[in-house]
Amino acid sequence: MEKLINIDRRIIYILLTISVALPLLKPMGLPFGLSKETQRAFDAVEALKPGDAVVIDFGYNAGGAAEVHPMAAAFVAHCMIKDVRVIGFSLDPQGSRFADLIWQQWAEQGKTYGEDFVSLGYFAGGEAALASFAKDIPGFVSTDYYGNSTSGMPIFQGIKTADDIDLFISISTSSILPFIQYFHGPYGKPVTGGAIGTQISRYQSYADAGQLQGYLASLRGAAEYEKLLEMPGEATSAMDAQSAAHILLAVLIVLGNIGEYVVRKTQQASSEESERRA
Amino acid sequence: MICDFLIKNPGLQSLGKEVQDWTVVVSAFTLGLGAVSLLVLHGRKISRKESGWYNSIVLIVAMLVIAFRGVVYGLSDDVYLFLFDNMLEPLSAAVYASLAFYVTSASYRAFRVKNLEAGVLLAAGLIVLLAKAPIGDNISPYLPQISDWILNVPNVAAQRGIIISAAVGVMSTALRTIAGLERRYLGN
Repeated sequence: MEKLINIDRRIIYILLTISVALPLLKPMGLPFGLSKETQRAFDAVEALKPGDAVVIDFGYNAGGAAEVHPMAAAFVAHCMIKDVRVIGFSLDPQGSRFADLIWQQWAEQGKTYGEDFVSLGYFAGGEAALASFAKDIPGFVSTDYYGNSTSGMPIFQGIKTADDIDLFISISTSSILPFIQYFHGPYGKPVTGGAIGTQISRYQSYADAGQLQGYLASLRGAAEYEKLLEMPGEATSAMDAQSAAHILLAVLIVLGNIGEYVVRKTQQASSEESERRA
Repeated sequence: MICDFLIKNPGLQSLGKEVQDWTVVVSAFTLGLGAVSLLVLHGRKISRKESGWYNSIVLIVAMLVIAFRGVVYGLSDDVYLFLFDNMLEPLSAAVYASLAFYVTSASYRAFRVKNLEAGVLLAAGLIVLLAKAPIGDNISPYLPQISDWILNVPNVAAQRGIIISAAVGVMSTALRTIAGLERRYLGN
């Protein structure tokens, strides 16, 4: 039982590697349900009409991309299917490169740059940039990610301020709350988004208060969105690996506690025995 | 800025936007300042041959090559994209993914039931952990419901307390700063 209390970390690392790798190589396709917040986020996009405008922040870097990039891909796919105009930027210097990968895919499928979607690149300044962008969108972005002038681009037709945007989506590894503060608060615009698993507990309060139109919670949220879209992708294929890793962690924690309990009881019994003998 | 946020007045809004634009410009400059600071710090490390100095060479060379290609040849440059896609992205993902190993090992060692509170925390943690993966739905249909209850009731109650307290704290600090009572940011 002592061994259960102190399993060598290298064994844990090997077990975790196997538990993640095997399902990726041979998927089981475990079914999974939908969370209320994913459904709300999906409904927010579903409610848009062709020609409506959406602003999306690719606020993540290479470190967190594995978890949140599938969310961005799913949101953009939904917008493209609904013929919604998508204006993308990034509050992270690396985010625009990931957005680029999504834009290329939709350009190959016949969507037009500057008309159906546009990439505005990295916005320095964080919250100040959002506040300024909200007040004067064409004035804030005179050139796009590729250095082209944005004036005259058909996608910006009829768009002056945040009031002219129909939905704001923030995909972020840091925080999606600035979108609520700068687009929902002053303009009353609907905001949704997606975040990494360690942050989701923060967002439920905002979702309950109606300030957030649902949100995608980690890779599972992205997989649920792909399911609603009926377009299984990266996130869906990673779900079995996530299940296996979570089970391994739960089993290890339970084993550690069983070991600890048995050892504690044995030590108690032996100390009582030695006291009795004394 | 507070007046600009609360009062709808064209003059105030124009002034507020000007200040915000300046903040954006200053923030952009901080990126350059950060790059210079990194160069100075790691340049010093190399010249003094401090421990791990060779890592600093890799950092400086990588930073200069990526910055040079990106700035001079544009963000669609093949070398820039090659370095981003084949070095930065996989290396960053690997570093982030390695956290999963540490978290698993640390959770196994730390989540031990030594009292009632730790037991409740462990039970809540295990339920949410299993429910957040597809396996949770397959173990029991009640597991996701219990997990949702944990996230929506006790978690939200605690989060709201934290959010409201933090907001009040931020407001009081801001008022103290505006009134000149808070001078610690000046080093006093």
